[in-house]
Amino acid sequence: MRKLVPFLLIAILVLAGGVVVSAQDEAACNIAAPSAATSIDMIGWSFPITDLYADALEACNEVENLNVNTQLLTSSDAQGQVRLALSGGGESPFEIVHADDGFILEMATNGWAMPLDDLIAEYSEAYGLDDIPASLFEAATIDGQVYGIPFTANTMHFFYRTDLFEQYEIEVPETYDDVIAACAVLSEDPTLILPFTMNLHAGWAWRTEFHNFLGSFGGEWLNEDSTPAFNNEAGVAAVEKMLEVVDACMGAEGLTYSIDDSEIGMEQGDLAMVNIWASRAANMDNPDLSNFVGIIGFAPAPRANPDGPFSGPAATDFYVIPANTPVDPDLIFQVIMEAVDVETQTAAAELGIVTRTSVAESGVGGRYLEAASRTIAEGVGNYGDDPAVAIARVAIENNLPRVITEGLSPQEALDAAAAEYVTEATAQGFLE
Amino acid sequence: MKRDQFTLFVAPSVIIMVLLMVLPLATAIILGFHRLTFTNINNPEFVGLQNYIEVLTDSRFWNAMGFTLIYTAVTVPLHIVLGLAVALLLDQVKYLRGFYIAGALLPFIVTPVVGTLMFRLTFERGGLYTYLLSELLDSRVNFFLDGTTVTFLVLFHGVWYITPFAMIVLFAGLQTLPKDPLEAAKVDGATWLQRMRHVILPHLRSLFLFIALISIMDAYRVFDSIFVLTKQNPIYGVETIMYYNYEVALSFQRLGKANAMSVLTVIGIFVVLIPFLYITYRQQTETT
Repeated sequence: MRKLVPFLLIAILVLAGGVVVSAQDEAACNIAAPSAATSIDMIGWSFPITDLYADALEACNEVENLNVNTQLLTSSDAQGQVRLALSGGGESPFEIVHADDGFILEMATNGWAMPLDDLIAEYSEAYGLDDIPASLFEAATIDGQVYGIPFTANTMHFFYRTDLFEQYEIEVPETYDDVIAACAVLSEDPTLILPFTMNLHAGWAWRTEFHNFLGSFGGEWLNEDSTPAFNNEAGVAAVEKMLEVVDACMGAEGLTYSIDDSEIGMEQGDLAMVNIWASRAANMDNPDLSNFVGIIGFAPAPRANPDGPFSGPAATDFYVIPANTPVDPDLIFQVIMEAVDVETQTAAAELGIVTRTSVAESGVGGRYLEAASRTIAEGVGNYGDDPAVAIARVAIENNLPRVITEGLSPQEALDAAAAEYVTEATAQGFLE
Repeated sequence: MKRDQFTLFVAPSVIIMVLLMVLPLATAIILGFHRLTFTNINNPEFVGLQNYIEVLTDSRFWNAMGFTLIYTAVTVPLHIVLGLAVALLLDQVKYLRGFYIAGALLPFIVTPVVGTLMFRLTFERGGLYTYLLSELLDSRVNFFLDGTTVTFLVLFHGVWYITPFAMIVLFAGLQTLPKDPLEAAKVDGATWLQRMRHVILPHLRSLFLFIALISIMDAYRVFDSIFVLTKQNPIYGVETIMYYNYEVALSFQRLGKANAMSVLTVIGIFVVLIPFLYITYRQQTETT
């Protein structure tokens, strides 16, 4: 027995060493430790997939000398914080900024974002960046330079209660006229608070839906010379259709439903149908949150114009490195890469639309993927690449809700937005 | 005290006041004369009085001003009366007084945004009070349906949040109330109401003024409750000056106009406070 003890000790040491080595091999963040203590601060907004990516970024805290902090707010608050921090031109307090395709255009146009072409070229092979379709980098490409790494795509599409549709023999709506007809039936159901909501609870929410409806009617935000196009016939038709849906399906109470409220409403059975972000779909099948696991169906966004595209956007979210960061951009880029690797995106695929083709085609992901993918492919797309559209978006946010709050006609509200846009765009040099 | 000594003593607070109050105000006044956005923040364009004229002709500014005045007119007297009532009750308590004071102070010492969020959650669709009221009335209750109900919640929250401040100040004042005049009034057969009117309230008069001054300034600056309770939904039409200022600065990105609005708000506060400052000045000169 005594002769066995050394062999046992050696075996234990080998096993323990193996565990340690294998633990190191499976480390969540495989980057070299910086030579000095370095802090990387990320700011963005929270929904299920971004929460997971934030955890993946923070996994790099295990690297010596590296401290990664993430701050997830609402989208408007996060963007406001970034504007306040970067507009002054000093050192950026953030090293990683979460930006959607509209905000990345604003950041790049104002010189707040760092071009990433050199870093992408350097690390493309190591991190398999060819796995991300070039089309997803388009919204982050301004004047031929890439300013962001796409980590999730998103759209707004239709969620509905399959049990109620079966009970009332309702076909899945393809147009908003179909939605209005379904509302007439479902508004009689005593278990529901409202038959349908879309998000019109804040100025920016009105702007988002206006974009969806405008595109469906073939409208554009701006003409080629950056003069406003959104207040033409297509714009008026879009607003009229939005108001028709509000009257038929939502009423005053529906206008108080935020995205969170709409998601919870579906999960708790207060709502029969919603048109919200695909990134909220995964929670519909979460038994901790939803009373209707497996019962909520998904379809492409209804068409506002029966002859037009689906009324859903093609949104891409990016991680951006601010131009004035004091931290080594190489290190920041590697931290971002660690968060968007295949392993993380495979986990993220359960929560939202990922950007790596290998993961998207592997079969992982939620039941909503087909509806979301069709909406992205056949929807209204994004806001375009005219930097002046950021001003138009603000003008619409300010003025479109006035159709409700002040009783303006759609044309009056859109003309007020156009006038505000022209004043500001002229002052900023986009118009002469 | 010699002038040099006096200057030395007041210098630190004067320097801090200049850095934290005077300089920012001066900057706001100057920036109010410029067209300033996040894109030209380092190179603002001088536009003279354009921002001030735009603010003064903005109907939404006047609506926000109107709501701010209503908020002030409702919450300030109400919380002083409630604060006095709670202070008088606490003054009668002999046992566990500290426990009751701590409980009464809770709304005031919790971080405003956190307190407002907790307040909102209890009145949300699935919130505790909403549920209890729905059960009591046997019908669905929704406090966030329209501007009327949200206005009620904002005012209710305003009173709930600031009453502890009045309570603790007045309670402290009651502790300094001399017992002799009160005893004498009782011996003379004065009723409770007469003792209140002729002994207690005159003793607390200066504190009422102090609370009113502070509360009016706080009411003018209210932002957290509007932001959290309305969730930036324009259909409620519930906006205060500070909230609209935030919208103009961060949502509309019109920083020059926001600065102009800030300056006009400061002037507005001074106008409202002048009577109270005059009364305070009169009181101080009378006592000296």
